[in-house]
Amino acid sequence: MAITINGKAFRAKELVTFYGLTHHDVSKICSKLGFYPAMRVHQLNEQQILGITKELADLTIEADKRAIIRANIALKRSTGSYAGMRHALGLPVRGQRTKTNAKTARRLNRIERRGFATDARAAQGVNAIEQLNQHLQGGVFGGFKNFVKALF
Amino acid sequence: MKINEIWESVYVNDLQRKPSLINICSAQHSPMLRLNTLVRSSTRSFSSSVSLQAAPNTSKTKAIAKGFKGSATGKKSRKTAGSFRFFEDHVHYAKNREPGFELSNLETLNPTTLDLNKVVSYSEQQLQKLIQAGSFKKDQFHELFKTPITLIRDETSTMAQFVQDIATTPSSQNKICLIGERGIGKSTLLTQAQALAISQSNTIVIPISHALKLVDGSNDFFYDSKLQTYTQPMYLKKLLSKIEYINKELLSQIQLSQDYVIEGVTKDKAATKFNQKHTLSDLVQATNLAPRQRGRVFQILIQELLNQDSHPVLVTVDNFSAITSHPITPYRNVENKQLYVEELQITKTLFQLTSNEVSFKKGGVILATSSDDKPSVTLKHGLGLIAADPYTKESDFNRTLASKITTVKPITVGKLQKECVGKLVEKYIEANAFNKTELENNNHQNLIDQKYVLSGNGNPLELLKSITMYH
Repeated sequence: MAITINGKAFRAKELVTFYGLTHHDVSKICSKLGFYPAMRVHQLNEQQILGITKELADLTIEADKRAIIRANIALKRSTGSYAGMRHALGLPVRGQRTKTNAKTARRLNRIERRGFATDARAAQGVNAIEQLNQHLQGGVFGGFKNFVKALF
Repeated sequence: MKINEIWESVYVNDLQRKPSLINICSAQHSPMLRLNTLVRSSTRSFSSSVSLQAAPNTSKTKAIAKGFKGSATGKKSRKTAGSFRFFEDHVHYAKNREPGFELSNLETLNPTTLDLNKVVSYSEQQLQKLIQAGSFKKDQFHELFKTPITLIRDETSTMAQFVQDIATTPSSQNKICLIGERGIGKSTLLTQAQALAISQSNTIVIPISHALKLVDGSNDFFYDSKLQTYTQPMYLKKLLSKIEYINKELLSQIQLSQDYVIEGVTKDKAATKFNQKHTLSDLVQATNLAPRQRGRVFQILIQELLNQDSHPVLVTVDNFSAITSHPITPYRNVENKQLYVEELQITKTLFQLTSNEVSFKKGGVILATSSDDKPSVTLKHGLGLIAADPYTKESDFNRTLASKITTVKPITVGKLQKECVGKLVEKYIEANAFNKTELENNNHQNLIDQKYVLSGNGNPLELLKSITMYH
């Protein structure tokens, strides 16, 4: 999933969009760390960024979340349920029509289901927190003045 | 920066936002004409003719449209980076714009000689302090003149009387709220009151020029456990510097009534001590204090001003309706619950003043509403203008806040009389604000009659728009 760190353009609440992270989660993190609503990414200091990292470490996101979803689908398939079969066939699971549309199901419902909007690195199970840490050390957050787009 | 350049930069920015428009209007005209084309191209005309957008073809202006201008060597250099501002912001904040017209023979606003229906300017001392206080707003068309002008109207004498009253009576007896339609002159009257207070020479003015900024989540905040309230260091920095600039001499005359110790932010940081030899000026100017200690500074400042009776204190709040319209702020506590306005230090102090919980021994509070805010039952009910329906939703009517402004007296700002409109029109003619053709085709009386009608029978903002937007 693409994580966009866009200098001044985005507010703190849109800082990170990890797979499995809801807006409510982000709101809770920002409130807990005392960020004000109009705070922007370039205003974060190192301590605050580490605070975000710490909060994210406690959440089930990215690879862990994908693993849970895969496990759930695998369970359905292993028990021979109708939903599991539909997943395996690449068809909609919840009674949607198949004459037309069903594009999402065809894209996602494979034998090895790909996560929503994921890329190869995420599929390999690279831990999101490690990725964020790597980027922190690599100075991505140091270059806030410029548009920085980091692909995870 | 000349006006044409401003138009160009705004226009270029529009093109950058909408690249397709480059094809539609090939930008061969003068900047003004190009802007017209841009506006027209955004609406569909009845005719399919493209004659409106047709343009003589020269390459030079085309380059300007893309943000470049041709040089003698044929090398293109960047003319402007475009603008991220709207036009009115650009005009207001542009540093190099052409100075407006300077009107001669204008008297200054003086509390002793307030001639009704007279256009006056502010004195140099008033002007400097009012600019610092943020009293001149960007949508008030002050850019037309080199220095802002103002009209003495009926309500000005009410303000002058109010400013006189605060010199002798406690603030619990002097609380007013200016209400009225958009552009009627509420903020201008507030500015006049500030100017009159400044010229009184012993009145301390505490100006809150944009109350919306207190509650819209645009400033940082943190919970100060010692004050047991949320403070806003970034906002307080600006507010304290304003107070310090406007009342420099006066604050240095007031000595602290007791010793204060402002503890360090962390245990290893030394505490800052103020004793009775220090003045309020020393307190506000203290540079060794951390942002987190500003809440304590503000608290001491208000406490000392409440205790003293040598100087009257005038608190002015513009756009007060923003607070009553947004009692639940976007700020959230650590439990992710939204903060109530009274949990914030500055708004809490304001409501303490309006509800008579605290009162300056000499002083007053002037609130001014804004039409930009969501109309709230809270304000109108609190001021006693309407009786709220008992079934009104909590989101529309906050009973607690309404009960805190019941002792505030509403003052309705009315429309200008035709005579006032005439005086203003004369000044605008003198300042070349009118379109030439409009001036040539009408005599003065005719213009006054027209503008009186166009201004909605005496709305100053509509009057200005009808003059300046005619071009």
